[in-house]
Amino acid sequence: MDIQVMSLEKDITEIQVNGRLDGITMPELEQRLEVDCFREQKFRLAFNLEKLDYISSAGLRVMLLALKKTTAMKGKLVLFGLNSSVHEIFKLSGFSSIYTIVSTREEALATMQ
Amino acid sequence: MWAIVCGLLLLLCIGACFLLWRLRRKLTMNETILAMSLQLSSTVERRQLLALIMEKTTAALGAEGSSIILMDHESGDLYFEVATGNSAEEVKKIRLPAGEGIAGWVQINGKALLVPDVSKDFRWSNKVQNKTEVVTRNMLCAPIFSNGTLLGVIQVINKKNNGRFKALELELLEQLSAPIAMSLENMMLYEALRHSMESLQQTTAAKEKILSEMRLASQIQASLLPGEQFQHGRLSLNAKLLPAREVGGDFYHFFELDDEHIVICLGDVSDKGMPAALFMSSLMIWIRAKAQKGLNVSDMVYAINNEISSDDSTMFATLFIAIINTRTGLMQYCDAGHCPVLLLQNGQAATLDVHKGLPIGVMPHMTYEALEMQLPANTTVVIYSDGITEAECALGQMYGAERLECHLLALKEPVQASAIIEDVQRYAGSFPQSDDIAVLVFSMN
Repeated sequence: MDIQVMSLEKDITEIQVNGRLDGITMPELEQRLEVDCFREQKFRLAFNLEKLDYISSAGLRVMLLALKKTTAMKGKLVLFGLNSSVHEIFKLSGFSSIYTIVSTREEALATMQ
Repeated sequence: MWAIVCGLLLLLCIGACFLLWRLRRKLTMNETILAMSLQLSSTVERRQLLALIMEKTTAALGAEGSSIILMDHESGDLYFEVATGNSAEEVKKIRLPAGEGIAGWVQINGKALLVPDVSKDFRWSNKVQNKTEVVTRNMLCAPIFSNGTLLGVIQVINKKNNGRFKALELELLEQLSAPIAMSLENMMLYEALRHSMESLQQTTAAKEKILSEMRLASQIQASLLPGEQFQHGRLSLNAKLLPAREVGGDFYHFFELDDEHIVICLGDVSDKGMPAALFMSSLMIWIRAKAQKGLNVSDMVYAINNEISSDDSTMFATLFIAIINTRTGLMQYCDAGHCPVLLLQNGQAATLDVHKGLPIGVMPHMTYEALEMQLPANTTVVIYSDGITEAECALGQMYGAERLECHLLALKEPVQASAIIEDVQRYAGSFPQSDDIAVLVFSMN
């Protein structure tokens, strides 16, 4: 797994997660979110999942953590670019009902205005 | 003329004698060093070795005593372990701050030193003498190096019979420091080895304790399950659970609600190992507690979810739960984020229609919707966890839903949960199981 964190316009932070997000790689994402986002008071997050190949239930847990943190701090969280199998996992797990999921970065930015 | 020749011959003779004497001295020195090397290789035990080094050095240099002062590499201090001579016990625990005394000078400068009269030497520290009541008159002191690292300093104290040390003896002591260094190095290696063996033993004991606790936890968890077979009314059911580790987060449950109704469920906690097992245990209890006669299955899930959810918790579980009338075959069910449930009918596999809800434990006060279906007599229902479809083989490919369906259709009826798991294990081969596996199969007669 590879994680890139970058600042976009209007204090929005993009987090790109590549590869597999599972029980093994999940602590790394949790750590990066804590250090690069929450500790920096960044709670407006756009997750770029274009290159995410797989997400397990442990991976969903860290996404849930991010959602709970951003909601509690009155921030916003959007997911974009999910491939069909990752999108399917979000649907099958019922998680798609609590996330804002869009296709592109532009759409993500638009929903965060 | 003859006088000159005689004089020259005499000089030659004297020269030859001197060379011979030098050669003999060198030979004696080499013999002493060789003997020392052999003697010092007889032990690696600290107290014995230090005593041996001092005894042999004292004898080789015709002194009254000697002491070996080791370097504490953490503090930079020098310290005495033992000393030969009459007051061996007294000098055992003395620490000398870095650079203090003659030994300290040798430590800092890395050079050997002959001190003909310690009372006149500015470097002399009487710290040791005061504690031991040994009067030091003169002394030889040499550093002990191993591969450029200072291991310590050796001191030879008081030439016997009120004598004086000679430069030659200092040279001998310097030469002796090589075999001494080698023996000390061996001693330290031995001690390091013994230390790691001891810590390995401790680690193994601690690990064994954890393992025995895990085995116990595994038994407790298995005892929470209702068994692997169940018959109620027209319904027969079988189930199997295979945790990836000793304990796990997958679970199933079935029990009677009243004469006509049973509750069945299967779920998967979003983690593995001990945290998942603890969460699973509490879930099993809440499922039993919230299953009340006359309650709709969606209300049950709503109530269970509220008990286990909080605003900051991130532990959750997928759950498929159903209340089945085992006389009529009416099934009322609810899907809380679980993977698809399969229906096998007339050689066809189909996915059960569901109203997808969130896994339980995600957020409190979530609503869940139940669906109903009439189970036909010739239909087998297979509920499984994603440990089946996501089981990997050595090539990194997953077992997958398609393979599962093919295998299920090839199985003889009644379908056994254990036969499904066996096929997954065959597929995975020697590749280790990374996720818990649970399967529950039932059909109406």
